[in-house]
Amino acid sequence: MNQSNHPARGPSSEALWWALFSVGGVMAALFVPAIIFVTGFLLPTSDPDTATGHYVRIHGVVSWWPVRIVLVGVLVFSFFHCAHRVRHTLMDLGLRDQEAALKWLCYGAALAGSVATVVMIWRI
Amino acid sequence: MTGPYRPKPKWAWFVQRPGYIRFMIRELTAVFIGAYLIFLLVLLSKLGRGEASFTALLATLHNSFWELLHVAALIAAVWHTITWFNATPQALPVFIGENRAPNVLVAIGMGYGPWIMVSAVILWGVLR
Repeated sequence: MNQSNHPARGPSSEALWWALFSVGGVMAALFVPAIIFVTGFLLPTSDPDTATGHYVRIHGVVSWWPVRIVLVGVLVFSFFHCAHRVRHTLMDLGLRDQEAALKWLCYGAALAGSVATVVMIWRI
Repeated sequence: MTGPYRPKPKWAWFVQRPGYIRFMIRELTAVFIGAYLIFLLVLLSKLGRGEASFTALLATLHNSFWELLHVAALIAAVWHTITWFNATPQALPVFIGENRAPNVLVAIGMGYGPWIMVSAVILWGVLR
């Protein structure tokens, strides 16, 4: 293990993280506000009949395979976008020494969220 | 005294300047969006479990507490969208011949325009 402050220059994963950050940033910018509006203000209801109608509608929309693919893309890339921002913000807030741990924590959480996304959408 | 210079910033360095505070607010949008996406996963899992689970969730969400959380998430998400598309012309400058296209046009063409179209399609899919 190289424990010095000057680690040997090798292949870096940073380009991958920045690419995921960028794609996720676009996905979140394009899709997330409207999705929040739907789940926050259009769907919630206490009326059973209205709720059943919403279930049928949303289930129908999300069952269509192009919507599933887009949803997986939006969630997976946005998770990595958020992970990257949180990691860099925590480094900026003074956790630069914990870089390796932060990488595992943030991108690990994004990976877990991505796996959960595929499973949840697969089951619909 | 050997080794590289390792600055040790106090964590609250960003309160020193309004620009730094705006930067930190922009970064914070990721926390709200990430938290919302986890909620969205829960909603999708209920959708997969069937009508009873999904309609029970819709009833739970039907109060001002959940509405307030959605308002907070929506503000953060819209702020992310605005800051992201305003930065797009800097990240991806578009040239028409020798001349650089105006930032406003690039932001609208590559950002705000598609955003409005995508949002309209989502709302149409749900409301039609």
